[in-house]
Amino acid sequence: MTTSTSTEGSGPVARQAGAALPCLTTTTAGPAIQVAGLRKKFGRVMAVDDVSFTVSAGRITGFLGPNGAGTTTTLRMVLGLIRADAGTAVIAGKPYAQLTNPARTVGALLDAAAAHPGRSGRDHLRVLATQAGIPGRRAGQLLDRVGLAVDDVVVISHGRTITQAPLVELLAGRPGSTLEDIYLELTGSAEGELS
Amino acid sequence: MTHLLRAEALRLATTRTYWLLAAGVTALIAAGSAATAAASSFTGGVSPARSVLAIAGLAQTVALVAGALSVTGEFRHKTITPAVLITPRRTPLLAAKLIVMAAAGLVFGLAVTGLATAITLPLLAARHIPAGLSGTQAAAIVAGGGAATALAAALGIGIGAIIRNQVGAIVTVLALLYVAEPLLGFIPHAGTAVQKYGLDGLAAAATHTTGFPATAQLLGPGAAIVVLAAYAGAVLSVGAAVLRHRDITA
Repeated sequence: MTTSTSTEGSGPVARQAGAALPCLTTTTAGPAIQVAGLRKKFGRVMAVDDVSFTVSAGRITGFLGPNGAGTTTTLRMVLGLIRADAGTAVIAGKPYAQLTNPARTVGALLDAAAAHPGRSGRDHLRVLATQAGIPGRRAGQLLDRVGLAVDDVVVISHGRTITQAPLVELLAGRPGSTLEDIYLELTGSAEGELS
Repeated sequence: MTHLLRAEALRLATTRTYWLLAAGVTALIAAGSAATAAASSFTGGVSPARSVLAIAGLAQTVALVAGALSVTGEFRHKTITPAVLITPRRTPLLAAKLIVMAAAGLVFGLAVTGLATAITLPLLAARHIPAGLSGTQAAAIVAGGGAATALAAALGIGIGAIIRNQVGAIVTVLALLYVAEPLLGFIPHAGTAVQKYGLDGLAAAATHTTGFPATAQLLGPGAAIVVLAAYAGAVLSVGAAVLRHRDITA
């Protein structure tokens, strides 16, 4: 239990043994994520102000904050999507962009609705799998495993599809991993809380 | 890079928008060239076949739009986030899109310009109107259509990378083609340069057809393709720089 938090005001809080979307999973030994002094300003708005924390490997860690607290901005900085004004964020000791095959190291899901409406769910997963060098047929295997057939839809506004199809996206990078099993065990109870 | 290219090809193939655009423009070009070749009186001393085949220039317009859509769509539907998560280096991501979309543009340009030529020449022959075009010249028109359409797609990708807002990018492209260039072309002296070096004039020159107006002075086809490629290269370089530095917030 080495998670430490350094936050100010209504900033985000890293807490263990909770789960919240957006979420991020890693498969590494040692500290999975180390964040130090992250800062980001959008125009005049200070979105993230000096956030530091460590996430240990092998734990489920929740990163919580009210709307606008900067949780998503922090995660996006950790993932190299947003450039930090100051501070560092490393995953398994490296900045995200320097991971050899990031999709196989980190499963990140920031927005469950991030899909092209004109593309079927299966094709959406095939595109992402192909890009990551994973055979496109794995999309179908995973969909079968979680009991989803999303040939026609990407997102249904409520119910199972919106919570599960993106989670398949999250798992696609790790063939036969234990995380997949954890997820399958969790879904029954987690779904109620998440939706 | 192989993975990126295959993923990009799959993105293109699994997006209905592009197929609908391609089908619509193909129908428009076929109907337009058939109607013009069958009914126009062809006055003004321009080669009849060349003036009919100017209709196939729609292929370049739609490629410009499709290229822009291929980038702006990623932002609009937020798919840029998983794409960049899988491939954090954004320039190769843009390069893969460029290669795939330009290749698709080349094939589409060759196909529709070829179709328009195949419709136009027999119709003119049936009306006993001399096409004013040799077989080699017809082949050059088709080849030019392929090259210009590929470059238009490339330019569209660059524009989309700079203006990520989908409506903004499409309005910019269409306003440039259908408002700015025709209007600027009327300015005395400077207007002839717009007619010559504007996108419409370059595409017309590259495809050996007529510009706007039909009497506009154009570059040679080779030179026009070089200038178009230079535009695409410049806009793509700016677009790649913008994409590298952009915060992906949604």
